[in-house]
Amino acid sequence: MNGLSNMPLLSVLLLLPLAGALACLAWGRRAAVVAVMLEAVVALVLQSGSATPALRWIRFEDWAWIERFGARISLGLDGLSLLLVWLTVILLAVAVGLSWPRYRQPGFYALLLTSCSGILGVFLAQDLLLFYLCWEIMLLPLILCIALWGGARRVEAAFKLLLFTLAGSLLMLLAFLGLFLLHGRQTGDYSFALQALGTTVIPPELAPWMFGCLAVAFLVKVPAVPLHGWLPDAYQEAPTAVTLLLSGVLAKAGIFGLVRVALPLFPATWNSFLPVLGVVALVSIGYGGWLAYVQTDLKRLVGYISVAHLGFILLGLAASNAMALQGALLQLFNHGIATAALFVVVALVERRTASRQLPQLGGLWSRTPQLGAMVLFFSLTALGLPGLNIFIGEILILLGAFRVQPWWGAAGMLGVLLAACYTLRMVQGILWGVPRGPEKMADMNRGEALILAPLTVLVLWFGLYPMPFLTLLRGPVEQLLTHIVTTGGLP
Amino acid sequence: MTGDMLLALLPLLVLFIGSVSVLFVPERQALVYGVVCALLAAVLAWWPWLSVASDTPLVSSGFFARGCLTLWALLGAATCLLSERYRASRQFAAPEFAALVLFCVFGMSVLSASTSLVSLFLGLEAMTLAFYVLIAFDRGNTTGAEAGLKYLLPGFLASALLAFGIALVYAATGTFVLSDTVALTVAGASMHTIALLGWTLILAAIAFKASLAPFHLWTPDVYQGAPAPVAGLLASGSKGAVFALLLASVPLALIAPLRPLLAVLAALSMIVGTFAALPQTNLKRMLAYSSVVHMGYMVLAVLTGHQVGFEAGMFYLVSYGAATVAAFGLVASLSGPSGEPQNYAALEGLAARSPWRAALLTMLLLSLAGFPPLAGFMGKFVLFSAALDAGYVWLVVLALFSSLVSCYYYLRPVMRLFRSGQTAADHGPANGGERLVLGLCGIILVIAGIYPGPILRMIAAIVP
Repeated sequence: MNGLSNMPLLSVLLLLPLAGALACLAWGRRAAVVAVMLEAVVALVLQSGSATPALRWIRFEDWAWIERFGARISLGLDGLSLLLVWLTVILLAVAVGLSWPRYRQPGFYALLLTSCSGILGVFLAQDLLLFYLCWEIMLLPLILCIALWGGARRVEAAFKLLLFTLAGSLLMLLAFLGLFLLHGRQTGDYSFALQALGTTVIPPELAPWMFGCLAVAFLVKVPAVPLHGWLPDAYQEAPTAVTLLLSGVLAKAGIFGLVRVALPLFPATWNSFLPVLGVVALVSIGYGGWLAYVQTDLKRLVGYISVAHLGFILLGLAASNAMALQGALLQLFNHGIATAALFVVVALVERRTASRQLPQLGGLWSRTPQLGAMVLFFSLTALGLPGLNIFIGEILILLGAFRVQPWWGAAGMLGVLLAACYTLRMVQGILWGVPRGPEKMADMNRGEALILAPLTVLVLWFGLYPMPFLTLLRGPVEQLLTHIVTTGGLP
Repeated sequence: MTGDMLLALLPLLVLFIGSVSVLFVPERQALVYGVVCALLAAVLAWWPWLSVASDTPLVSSGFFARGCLTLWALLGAATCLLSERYRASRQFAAPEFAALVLFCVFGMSVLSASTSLVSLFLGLEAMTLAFYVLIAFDRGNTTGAEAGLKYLLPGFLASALLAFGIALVYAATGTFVLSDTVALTVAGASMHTIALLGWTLILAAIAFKASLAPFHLWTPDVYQGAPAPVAGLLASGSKGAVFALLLASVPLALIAPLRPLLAVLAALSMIVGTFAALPQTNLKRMLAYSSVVHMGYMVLAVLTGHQVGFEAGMFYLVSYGAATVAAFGLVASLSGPSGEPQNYAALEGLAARSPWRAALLTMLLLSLAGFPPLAGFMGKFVLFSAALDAGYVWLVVLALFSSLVSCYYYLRPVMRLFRSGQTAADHGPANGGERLVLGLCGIILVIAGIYPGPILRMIAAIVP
């Protein structure tokens, strides 16, 4: 396997979707399938042939880019980014598979692939300019997808999403530029490398502002509760493939940005920010859960479930001890899989009943038992049933939070209770009650089963035996803890 | 006048002689002849034995002047290539058109290379005179005549302001040489106030030409009425030449009292242009107002007052120029016997009719809006970082805000492109010249956005 370790696999990983997008435009949408398959192969061999596990990076690549600004194309892969790369590739495959019968235009698949390229770039970039570039590339194609293929109010939804996220990313650009100039003036070395910029001495009167810019940019993408205005419309109007990527991967990019960019750059400010983050997290859990409880549109409902669960991840970050961090980072993957699966089953239900409104649904269990079982299974996952993947993350996060602030943990437990309320209401509305909608409906076909099968396996695997993945995350968690500990204790 | 000086002036002479001789070329070949002349001038500017040529009293022949001449010549060549459709369908008098474009390029080159207030005035007037005619060139189009008049009247006012300003500056400093006049306008010098008044008037005249708010009122009407290729040259070339002058030979930021004025011009341009562009439903008018915003960004480069800022400004000019020329070129290539498709409604369904042109227009508008990974983003990035470095934090925040809002008005026409419309197309497929220019602009935008290193190096080599 020595040859593999020398190959620039990360660059290949980054460029393959772009090439796939071009191929889509040239040869039709079949090229997308080939690209996704190749991408999956590359993602699977990433780990093999790695150097010693003691090093921080599993793989690292560095290319010259813009000498004038000291920007380089440097890509680093560690346990956390590896997990998220896998998540991205899996969800991309699910998104393509789910859209296949519905959307025939190659442009749709080209946009999905382009966005995927940006997402992978965000997870791998070790250079802030590259990070920003990929951050924008990941979003714009999805917005175009919403605007062109979305539901009835697609243009409004797209513009809303665009304005929210663009406002965030321009703040991020401002912070990056400020940091770049500060670092350049202090050391004479104008560079965008994340590693180098982490050593910048930031004047105490500037630090909260710059950190605030970054925090807003990342929390908009999550979205955490005061910044979630774009979410209901975008999730509802977007094609399911896009909703799935938005909630499954882009939300993770926001949290990833918090821990991998904002934290190492401003460790001191991070510590004073933690109580705020804790409150934001609890509000997200409570408010998201409450809104999920009252929704009638299934896509919006799942969207708010996702907000509530993301609140748990933020709570884990706010607790910032080894256990909570490990849970939070693992939950990034778990939540991506579980939410994506929920959106998929909602789309499958909608295909049969032509409606997503809870009052118009009911009695699916007797007519489509297999699909009903899947709805139940993934709802129980979202509820946090022990033995399924969401539970593992949540229990680690809550245990960690208890150690830091017992009342945070207690409030989080209430969130779990709330989760039982809204998921059971959803299950009851879809599966049981008076049968509504068409008399006869087909159960799952083979293609649909093929989409859900890997997700089911992953839910069970992460729920029953998460150890290998927790080992993968040990390095990144230690890295984060050194940043936190060296600059003062916990709040 | 020595032989060396003649050599230094050779590219300018080629442009001038070309613009006279093209009048004797047959109708069909005139535009191609114009293109050849412009390209010849561009090549001659970099001919090795010209690098020893000395400066002339009025016009510099430094690297910067030559680089600018190359840029304007390429823009002129693009304009000629893009006008082929107009010659064929609207009976443009091709020789006269090519002559005017070449003369216009000549004026721009003199302007950006000028080392003296006299050549500044001459260059600006030569360029403007040619534009007066070019804008109203389509005789069948009444809005064209109106546009010509609307450019003429503010143009005269600007000329008068410029002449008076030059007189005042000369009276105060006693010299026409640009670098000396700037250096002599220092606080405490005798007649300092007079010199400042002169510079303010010159600044106003320049603001007219660059359509900085509040001197921008002519811009939307003129863009709307002028033939699209001419509007493209006006938007990219004439404004570029004015800013090249400000970046290289008249560093106005060195005169401290003028800085607040420049900052106000920049801020006003960003605010007014942004809000005026929001409700537009006509592509050319929208581009006009958005160009006001872009020129506001360019003032940031002037304000920085140091080399890095000037390089950033030139890079921004290149990225903006390529996108603008291509956008107007696309409008030209989509025009048929019934006129140009200016309204968003006329663009509906373009993606189905001609997908490549729709994709390119999307790309151009996204680049102007500053979306990565296109040149517009990289331009804004280098420009804003230079301005931030120079300490203009609030202007940069304002600029970021206006580029946020700009996404709305740039994306509105994009949405219409992909909507299925019933409008029948009366434009044919793109011809060879259009494909060449549009393709080149697209490639430049992508390369400058993804791998701007080489272009930045080239610019760093020519900026004085």
